[in-house]
Amino acid sequence: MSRRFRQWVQAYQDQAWTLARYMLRDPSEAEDVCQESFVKLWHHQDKIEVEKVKPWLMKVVRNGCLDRIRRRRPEWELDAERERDLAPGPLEGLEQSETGRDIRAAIEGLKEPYRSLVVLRDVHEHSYEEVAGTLELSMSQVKVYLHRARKQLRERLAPLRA
Amino acid sequence: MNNQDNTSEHWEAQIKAMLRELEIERAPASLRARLKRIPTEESAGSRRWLGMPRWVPVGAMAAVPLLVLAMVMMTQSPTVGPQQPEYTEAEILQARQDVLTAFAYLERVGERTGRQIEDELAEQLSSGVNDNVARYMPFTNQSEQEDKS
Repeated sequence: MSRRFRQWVQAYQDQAWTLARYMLRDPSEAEDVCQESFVKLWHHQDKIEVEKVKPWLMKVVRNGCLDRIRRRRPEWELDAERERDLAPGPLEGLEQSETGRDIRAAIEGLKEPYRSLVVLRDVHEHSYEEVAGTLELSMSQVKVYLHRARKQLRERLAPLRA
Repeated sequence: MNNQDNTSEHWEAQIKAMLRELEIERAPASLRARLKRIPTEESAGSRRWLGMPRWVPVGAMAAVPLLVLAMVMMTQSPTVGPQQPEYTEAEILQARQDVLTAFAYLERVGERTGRQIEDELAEQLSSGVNDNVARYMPFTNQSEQEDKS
């Protein structure tokens, strides 16, 4: 049981961390959410089918992040001013192009569930089925929302085309 | 128009490519260490009795001898009244207080046990544990009657 759990930690800790960072931006909160999520996985590991562990875990991470966001301020998701208060986003400090930083900022500015959709599908490259399982959406909803998310992303990045 | 479409498609292709290049960030060392400790910490936490910390059943076990002693002191003499040569009134009062304290503690443990059983096993098993323990101890009623007489 312990060995299997450690394998899951090894396989998914980076993805869990990246998702939590995109959603929360605060590294200490992201760490707390990741740890809480893996603790839940420890306690539920016998009840989850092996092939569903990844979407299950990402769902727990995402829900943990959403709970924290709601506790910060209920209108967090609607408040455009929050971006000024946020800590530097993921991959800060690593050598990245200016365009890459703009894209990350654009992703972090998306509302839910679009942000999670883009991170899970386009950054983590989860399958549509996994994304649907994580976000508890139907396949058609995933595709429709993803289309809208990418459209919003394009609109946010349109100034870069100039 | 054609050029514009091509430019737009090119731009979208660029965005997709950039998204793919956004790497999954490596979890920091502090988080890795915390996750590594989970099996050890959670396994230690599971060494409990019905999910309760060990001090609860240990405390309950410590209350039992106290209860027995109090019961012996109170029931040793068949007749109650001014003529109890072995124990003073203060000692009897103290014994009764000790009994009440032990009962209160056991009741608390019983309530907590009941909640744990309810959570972990089945609702049907919890009702017996939640019953008032003192109801089944006749000598407390006897004490009250003796006080009134």
